[in-house]
Amino acid sequence: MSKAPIKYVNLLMLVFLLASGYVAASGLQEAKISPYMLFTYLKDSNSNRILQARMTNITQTGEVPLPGLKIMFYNNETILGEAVTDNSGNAIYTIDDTYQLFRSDDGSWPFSASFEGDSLVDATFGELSVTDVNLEMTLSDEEGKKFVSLAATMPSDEGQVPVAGEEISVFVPRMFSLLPVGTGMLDDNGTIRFEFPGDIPGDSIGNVTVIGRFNDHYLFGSVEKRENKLWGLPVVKAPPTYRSLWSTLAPKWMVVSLAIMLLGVWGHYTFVVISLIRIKKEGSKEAKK
Amino acid sequence: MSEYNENLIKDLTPEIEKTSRSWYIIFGTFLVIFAYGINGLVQQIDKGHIVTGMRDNVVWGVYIVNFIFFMGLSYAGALVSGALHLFKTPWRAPVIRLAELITVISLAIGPFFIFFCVGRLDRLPYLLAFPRIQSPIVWDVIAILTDVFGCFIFLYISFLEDFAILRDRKDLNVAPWKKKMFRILAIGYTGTEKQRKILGFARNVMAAMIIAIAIIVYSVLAWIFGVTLRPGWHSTIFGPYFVIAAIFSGVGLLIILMAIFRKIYSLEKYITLKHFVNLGIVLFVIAAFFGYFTFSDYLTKWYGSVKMDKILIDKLFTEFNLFFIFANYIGILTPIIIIAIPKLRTIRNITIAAVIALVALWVNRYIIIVPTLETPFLPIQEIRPDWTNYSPTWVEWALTAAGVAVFGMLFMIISKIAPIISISEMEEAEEKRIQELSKEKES
Repeated sequence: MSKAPIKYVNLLMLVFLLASGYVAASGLQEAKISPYMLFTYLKDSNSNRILQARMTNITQTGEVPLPGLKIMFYNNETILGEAVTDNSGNAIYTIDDTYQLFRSDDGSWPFSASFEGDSLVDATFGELSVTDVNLEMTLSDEEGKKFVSLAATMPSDEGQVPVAGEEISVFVPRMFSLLPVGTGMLDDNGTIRFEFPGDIPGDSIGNVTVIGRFNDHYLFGSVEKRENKLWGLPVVKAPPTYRSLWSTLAPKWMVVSLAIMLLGVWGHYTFVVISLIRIKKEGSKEAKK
Repeated sequence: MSEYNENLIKDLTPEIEKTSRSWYIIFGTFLVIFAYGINGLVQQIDKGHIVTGMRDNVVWGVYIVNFIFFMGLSYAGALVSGALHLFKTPWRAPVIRLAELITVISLAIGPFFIFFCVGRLDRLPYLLAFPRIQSPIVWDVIAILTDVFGCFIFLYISFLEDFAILRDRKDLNVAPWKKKMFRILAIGYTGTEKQRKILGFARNVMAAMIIAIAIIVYSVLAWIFGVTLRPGWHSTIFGPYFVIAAIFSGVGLLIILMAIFRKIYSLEKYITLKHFVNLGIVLFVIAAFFGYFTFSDYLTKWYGSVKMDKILIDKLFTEFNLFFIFANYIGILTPIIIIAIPKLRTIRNITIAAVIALVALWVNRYIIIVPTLETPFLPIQEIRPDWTNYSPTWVEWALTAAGVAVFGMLFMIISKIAPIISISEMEEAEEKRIQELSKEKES
């Protein structure tokens, strides 16, 4: 018997084993989470500069937050600090006001965030460049109308210059996200004026938070100014609806129905008892006769 | 007094003058069963509800089944007696008193099963002291109290003429206290035209009231289940369904009692095949209605396939399938078949059909209550099986048997002090019969 077929079979088995090993190895690799990092910058109303890295695992069913991951934040190559992702997968770092940030040649701040990886989650990083911008917001009432005025300037070699031709919006916070109530382009003076709508629901007395904001801007990141104003429509909270049978007092219809029924029944009982008394009286009369 | 009336009084008051040996034997047997039940009750009071099959999850068992069953019998008795009286049913005379007695005796027994079921009896007065009108339990308490008064008034006014007859019988050989009792209870009724008119109107009023009360009160009991968001209970048809079921069991019991009293007191002359067939036809119609309601209730639950309803229905078709078949097939179809075939309409067969219907109704109540409580909405893990699976203990069976024994004992005690068939109704029926005969002769 020729040995050739045996050789081929051995070869085939070797290929099979190698393939199996590769598949198993790749399977093991696939078991490790390949995270997605959303790296953003926010300059809030108090001029705090905040870096945020959101770590998630994108699966077929949706985005799953990755908590407990240590994220390092850098300005250029200098470590600014670190933060651990919370249950929502967010690691937030607020840059110290006194820290002198490194600027690139174009005047922007280069930031990066990195996760070094662990036994379960792969390493990843994100980077962004942010040009600092100063935003001012003025709220005014004119002839019964409400206006939001925004002015934006940015530093340059000649000092602060207006930010012209960039998109900016006015928002009001709602339950799940920010509701845009006006969007427009800054003029050459770096200003814009929006008429604030008069039909925005506020709190119980009409307070509403007005936000002027560069929202995820390609140059400035997110920069915002917030102010509370009595510009909303007062919203009277509907009284909490209870299952009426569990309420302290019985519903009126029930009390009335029960009273009618009981009065009806006991009224008839009374009538019958009176009838019996009449029978007894009649009997007494007969006995006397 | 005519010879007929003389015989009537003798025949219908067999135990008033003297007590037979068989009376003592039967009463003694019931007393032993009752004592056995008391022994169970003492055990329960001493050791707590741990001696019953009820646990944290299945908190209602045989006691509540008995409560609903006895209350159903009571309301059915009220409905049947009220309807027979109000519609002047010609054959009602020998039947109506039994129905009235079922009403009052069942009503006296039923609520005791609630007391057995309640863990903290000391808190029971709170229901009256701090009632919450919006609670179905309070509706039930109000309804039952109202019903108790109504039933006792109705029973009393139906007894009034008989008390007067017994008072007026000079040759009645009874103890002086009984004579005095008849005199007091007869309240001077002598049967004058005016008294008859007042009494007749009062009886009509009470008969109408008692029908309405029975329907409302048993519906209230059904709503305790209907308003509860549990699989198998949360049903809009539970009110009418319970009322129909009550009439079904009540008519069944009436037929059984007719057969028993006919036999032991030799009342064959008064309770005839005609009465059995007539009540059998009522049983037939009610069985058909009951079957329709049962089918409608289970069909909608099964077709809806709501998760918990489906689990419950599956349980009824597997774990409780024998109970289900007996309660909802045999219990309904047997009376229908026996009554539907004229050849089968004998006193014995109709009584057997009534017994099956009555027991099936009890089982029906069992499979309404227990499987639902064994199907909790929230999954319970790592729990003792006896907490989610109910099995009645000897204590519960002893008290159930005691309830039945008390029912028999009360019937026997009443038969010692009052006629178990209304003498006045029988006299009236005889008078009508004679009048009709004379009219026929004249024509």
